[in-house]
Amino acid sequence: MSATLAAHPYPHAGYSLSPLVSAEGVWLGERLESVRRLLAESHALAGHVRDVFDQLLDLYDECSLPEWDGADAVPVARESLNAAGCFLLSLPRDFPMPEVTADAQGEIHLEWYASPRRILTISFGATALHYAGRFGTSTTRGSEPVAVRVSEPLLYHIRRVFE
Amino acid sequence: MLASGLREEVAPGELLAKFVLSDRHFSRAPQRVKAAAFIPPPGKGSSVFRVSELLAEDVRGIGETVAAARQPPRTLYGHAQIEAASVFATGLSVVAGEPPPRHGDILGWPEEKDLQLELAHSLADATELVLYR
Repeated sequence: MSATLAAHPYPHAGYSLSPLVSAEGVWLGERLESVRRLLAESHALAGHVRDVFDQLLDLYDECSLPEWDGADAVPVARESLNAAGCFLLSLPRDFPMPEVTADAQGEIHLEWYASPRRILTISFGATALHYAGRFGTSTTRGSEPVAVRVSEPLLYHIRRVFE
Repeated sequence: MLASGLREEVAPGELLAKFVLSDRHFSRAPQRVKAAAFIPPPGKGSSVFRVSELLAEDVRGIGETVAAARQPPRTLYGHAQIEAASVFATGLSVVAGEPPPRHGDILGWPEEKDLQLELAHSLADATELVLYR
């Protein structure tokens, strides 16, 4: 299985991480390549992460054209895909995986949900990520640059969903 | 009075339907609509239909028309039903936008995306998801 993953880690037609256009994109691409290798080496990691990553790539296939919703939706940018993918693959191995979707602004959502009052949504644009969460009676929201690693505050918020 | 026979002003007690045209915008277990369903396209409102006092099959019929009118046509999975008062409680507004008949838009979205997400959480939390398939 590792050999198969190494040869064809993401067998989606037409998708390639190259060319990445920005320096940050190059960095993210390199990071993703390193995690790909990690995936290829680890059955334990490959299972649930790969399922969600496949959903992410399916979403990109479906939502990367203008008006993908048949109306006014903005296409999902490759940079958004890279950012969400790197984020996903950078999560600690024991973390729960999110649900994946896209909005009409072309941003990818990763959403952790336990109940209507315990939810965290992170949306990934081409250059920034935005998040909002509810944890019982408290809430949080904010924005960060598309980052090179998962920030500690976001890890903390993901944990809070399932406390 | 609008062509649909509805009043121009949307009353707090009116029921609104947000048609769900993507299987990514809802979950079956637990059954819920996701925040992404409510996020509007840039510079626009979040599309809804005013469905108070309509029979269930009539609401679905409007949804089928909406889905068929998309290019390409979309699959109608259901609708998220929310009372206008719940929208108003978030600080957003609902403005009639006919045609098509009974159409309206949830407007007043802030520029900040994190705040949009927070509002979309509130809307999703206040909805009842009705699935057709």
